[in-house]
Amino acid sequence: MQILIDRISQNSDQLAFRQLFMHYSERLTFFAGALLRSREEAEEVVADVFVKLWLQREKLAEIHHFQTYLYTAVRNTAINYRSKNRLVFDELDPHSTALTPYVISPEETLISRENLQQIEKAINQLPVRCRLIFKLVKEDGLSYREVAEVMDISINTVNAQISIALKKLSSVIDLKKPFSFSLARK
Amino acid sequence: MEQEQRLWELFSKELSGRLSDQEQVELDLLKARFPEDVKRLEMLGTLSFRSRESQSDERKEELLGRIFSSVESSTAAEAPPKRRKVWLVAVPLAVAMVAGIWYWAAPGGEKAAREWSTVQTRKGAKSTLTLPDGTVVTLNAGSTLSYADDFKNGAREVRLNGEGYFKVAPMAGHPFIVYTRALDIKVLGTEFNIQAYEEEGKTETTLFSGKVEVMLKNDGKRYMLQPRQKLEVLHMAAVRDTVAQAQPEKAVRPAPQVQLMAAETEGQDSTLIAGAWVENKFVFRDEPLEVLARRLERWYNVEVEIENEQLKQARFTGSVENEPLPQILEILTALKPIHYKITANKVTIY
Repeated sequence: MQILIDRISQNSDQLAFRQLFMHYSERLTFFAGALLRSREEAEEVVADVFVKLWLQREKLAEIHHFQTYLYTAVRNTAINYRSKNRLVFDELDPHSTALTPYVISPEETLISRENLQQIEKAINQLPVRCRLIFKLVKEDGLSYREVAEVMDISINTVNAQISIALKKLSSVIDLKKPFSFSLARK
Repeated sequence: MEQEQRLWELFSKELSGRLSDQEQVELDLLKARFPEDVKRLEMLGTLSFRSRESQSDERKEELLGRIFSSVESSTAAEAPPKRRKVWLVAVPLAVAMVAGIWYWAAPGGEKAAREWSTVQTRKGAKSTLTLPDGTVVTLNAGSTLSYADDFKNGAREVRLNGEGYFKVAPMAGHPFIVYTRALDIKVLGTEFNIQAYEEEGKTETTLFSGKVEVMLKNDGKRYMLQPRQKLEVLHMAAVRDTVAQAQPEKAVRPAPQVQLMAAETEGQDSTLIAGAWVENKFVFRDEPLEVLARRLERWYNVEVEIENEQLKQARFTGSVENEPLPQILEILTALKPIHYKITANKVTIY
């Protein structure tokens, strides 16, 4: 990633910029979508952030935590976008951060289809903010510190929210029905 | 119950890798007490998650197109206008950008349509980019480079309008081909510069190292270039017809004037001047003011007007490095009895 940023910053490399955009577009759109009402608005916010990024590309190399910077920029732009200047993640559209769990490879998991459905249901029943934090960690791969910074909450809150999510999702796993795949294998 | 609560807190902390030694001991004890929770968590750990909705690549391309047209409109205007306005302007332009990935029948009569991606530099700007095969191209101001979508699979073909300095990554069995309006260049690993601005009426290919083969479009003649040689091809005014590019010549075209010569050099180490622009040097050799003016227009993104017809053919020789426009103009006035004035975005020479 740093190589891409250097290439953009030093050489005005449009292809590197393109790669950067392709990598982040979807997740940032989701993140912005958590703050805005529509997907179109979210895309517009992300595009806006990337326009500024390109216009100020010479300064990119000075940014230390690029990923945090990016999410924060999207957050701030989204907040400006909704005329009221406050950060309310709880108001988000309950469907905007819907997650579907999926298995990397059936051979590698012991979880039955039935349990998977239960987990998916449980994810979508998590409080919206909790679900967003879980998504940022699990899907986007942000560290707790990064999540804390981009959502403007404490690390302890992130930790607490993740523990709630883990507990809720685990609680729906029925240990008596886990072995469909492994039995099939043996 | 409280202990179980604590267990999940510690699980969460473990996930983030921020567990202290003391907490690790505590967690191990709790794990022994709640083996079923441990099992559930392990099962959860085998899953990865993705969102139900995803953004298609086409959608991403479309957004990227919008971004670049927004960039264009905010750099075109001196001060960036209000955001919302930019977007309103951006929408119709976006169509043009998306069309930048267009279908183009491959030269040589191939029927299959290919997608081409396009990179542009505006006037007053240069850009260096790395193509998917590792080839590094520096694009001079006001140039357009397109490359085919199957580039990665070894089909290394680009189209150029403007000037580019290429450092082609060697790839056995996969020549790198540059298509321009007047000629095509086939290369193996090599470095060369090509100036092919349509408005200049000629195409100059300068080889720095390696080997290139140049094929003229209208008579099919081929030229092999040696390092430090330059091939200059004059376009006939009558041939200036962009439609001809897509439709192979039906009318008989006059043969272009072709000259193969030693490339011009500069300084004691006799560096080739064709690559000077890559190093931010502005070098001109016995160049008519008319041509020089067009170069200045691209280089500094200004309009240059020559009021005196006779001056257009006055020839200039010189070299400047990293100088702002007024300094270059000063140098020109020192070389020949000319005058200039600068108004907003326009230079008048008289």
